[in-house]
Amino acid sequence: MKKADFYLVVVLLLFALLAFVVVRMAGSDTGEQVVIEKDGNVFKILSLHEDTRLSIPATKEDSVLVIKEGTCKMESAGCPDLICVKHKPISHKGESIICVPNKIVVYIK
Amino acid sequence: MNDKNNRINSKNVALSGVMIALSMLLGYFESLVPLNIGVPGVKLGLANIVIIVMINKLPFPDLIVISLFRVILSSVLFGNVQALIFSVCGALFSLLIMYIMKRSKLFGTVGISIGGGVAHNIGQLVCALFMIGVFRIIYYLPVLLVSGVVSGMLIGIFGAYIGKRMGDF
Repeated sequence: MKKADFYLVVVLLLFALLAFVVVRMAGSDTGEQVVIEKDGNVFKILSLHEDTRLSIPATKEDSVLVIKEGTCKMESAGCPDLICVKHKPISHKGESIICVPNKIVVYIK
Repeated sequence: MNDKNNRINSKNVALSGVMIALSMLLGYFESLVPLNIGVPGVKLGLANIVIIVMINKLPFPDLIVISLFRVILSSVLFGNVQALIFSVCGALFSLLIMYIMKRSKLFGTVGISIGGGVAHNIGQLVCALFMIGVFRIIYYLPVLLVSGVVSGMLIGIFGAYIGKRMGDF
């Protein structure tokens, strides 16, 4: 490893730490509302404290969002990679689940 | 591009073909071992070993060809054509950064690989930012930066070792 390599690692990790702090500063407390955006527009706003199940219309098969015991997760979806379904449940302010193929963004406010 | 004679040029073409096949195989192999930590985009990037080793042996246009063909062929063969545009953004941006870093002569193989790993993630993130049009996706940046550094370091160490063992050919 050259010296410059080492500096590169340090700079990148510091930058990551900075980015992490900035992201966390935006909200570290438990959120109140779940905002669901579809195609860049707000589709629905739900309370995080009421257990619900919501179908979000998508091209192939509806994406199903479940809010349970203060956390929110995508239960099923018709997208090819299912990244949104595999995403860990979210509950903190600023956390989000994003499904790119279906253009759905779910975040906590 | 300006090869002195055709013999060298055809050798490069053949080498590029072999390397496309090899990198596709590495990418496929990686997809068989799922690594899911709850944030999309975190992966090892085994296919980048090919670029790391070849960056010293092939001219830039050939590297672009290898990168581009690998991404397109892998998407078509192994499915996930929807992710093609992301893969292309990531692969090309990563290649560009690695080439610039190599030309600067400041960095070693590991540094170049780290730059490539981070650039790949940033390229995909920026691409997603434009595609989905939501700034919120930037929340993945810290995780993707760290994962780029870690995987880039591992791949760089591998690549440096393989490059040394391979010697000239």
